[in-house]
Amino acid sequence: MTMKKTLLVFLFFLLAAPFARGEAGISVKDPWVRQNPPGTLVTAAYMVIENPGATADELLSVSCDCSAEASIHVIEMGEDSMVMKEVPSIAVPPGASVGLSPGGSHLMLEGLSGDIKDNVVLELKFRSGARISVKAPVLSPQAAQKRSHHH
Amino acid sequence: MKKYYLPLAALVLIALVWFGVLGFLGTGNGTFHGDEYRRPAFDFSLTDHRSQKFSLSDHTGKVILLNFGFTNCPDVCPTTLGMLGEVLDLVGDERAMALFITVDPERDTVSKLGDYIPFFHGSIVGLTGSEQAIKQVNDACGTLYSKEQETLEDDYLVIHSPAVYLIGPGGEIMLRYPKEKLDPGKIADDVKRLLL
Ligand SMILES: [Cu+2]
Repeated sequence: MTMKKTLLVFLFFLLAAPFARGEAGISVKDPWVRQNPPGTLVTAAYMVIENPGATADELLSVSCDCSAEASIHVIEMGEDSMVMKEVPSIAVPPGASVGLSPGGSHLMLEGLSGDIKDNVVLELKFRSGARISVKAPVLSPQAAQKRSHHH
Repeated sequence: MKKYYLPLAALVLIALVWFGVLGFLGTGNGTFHGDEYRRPAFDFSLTDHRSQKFSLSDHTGKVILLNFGFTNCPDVCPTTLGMLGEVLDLVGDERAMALFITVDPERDTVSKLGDYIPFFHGSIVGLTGSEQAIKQVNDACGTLYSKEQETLEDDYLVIHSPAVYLIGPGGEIMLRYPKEKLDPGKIADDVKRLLL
């Protein structure tokens, strides 16, 4: 490779980086979506959101190419019950990572376009202006169980 | 001095055996991973997801894991059902059974459950019935559920207990697993122990 080519490739990655990872340095790891059981058009997406930066950020909204609606949910535990509550945002403090996981905070996908499989694309918008688009694998109940043992 | 040795040794031996037995009994009751939850034997009759009548009393001698939920539940119910499927695989014994009782009989018909349940595991049994019959099972387990009305008439959630209840071979409710104790390996251990 010539010097010029190397420089061009380097420049390309330098320019592409902010688009791939979001300007604020915020990133999404291990995204996945629960395969919807037959006859249902609702499911949930999970992931870990990392904020390596020095400023607080906040997840403001979500959308999915697989569903009409997507919202941010937290779980409130009662004495013998649990309730999902939609919240307007989820804070991602500086230097922290926030996990969205089964039985906890999650992204709820409603009005699925049908039975989802393989991968879906989720788009997340943050207060900092960062927009992250991630491809999330669709996991069967068995695959989801296996996954829960490794994390 | 020498003549005291024998009775003393005997006393020490008796004490050791006594405390040993107590200790064994103590841990014997305490090593279940689920919370002890003694409730008397009860019975119920509902319809399963294959349209068959299901009575609890027809399954005496089995260890049954019971869970409440509804099919329109996006996160908690599928998580628990996946977990219960893994428990059944880990136990690998036909005397272990997992039941999913809907708290939304209005929408969760037999055919709806027939589509839904086998997706998680071929051996999980989905149950529905009259509002009254389902409330009776909830009462027997000491748990409550209620409809949460959303903006759209047809788009409600049902607030319910995420816990799993273990029914022993005699039909009595023995253990309760709250949300934080829903660990398939540990639940499978308890089930295996009861099937010994
Ligand atoms: Cu939700």
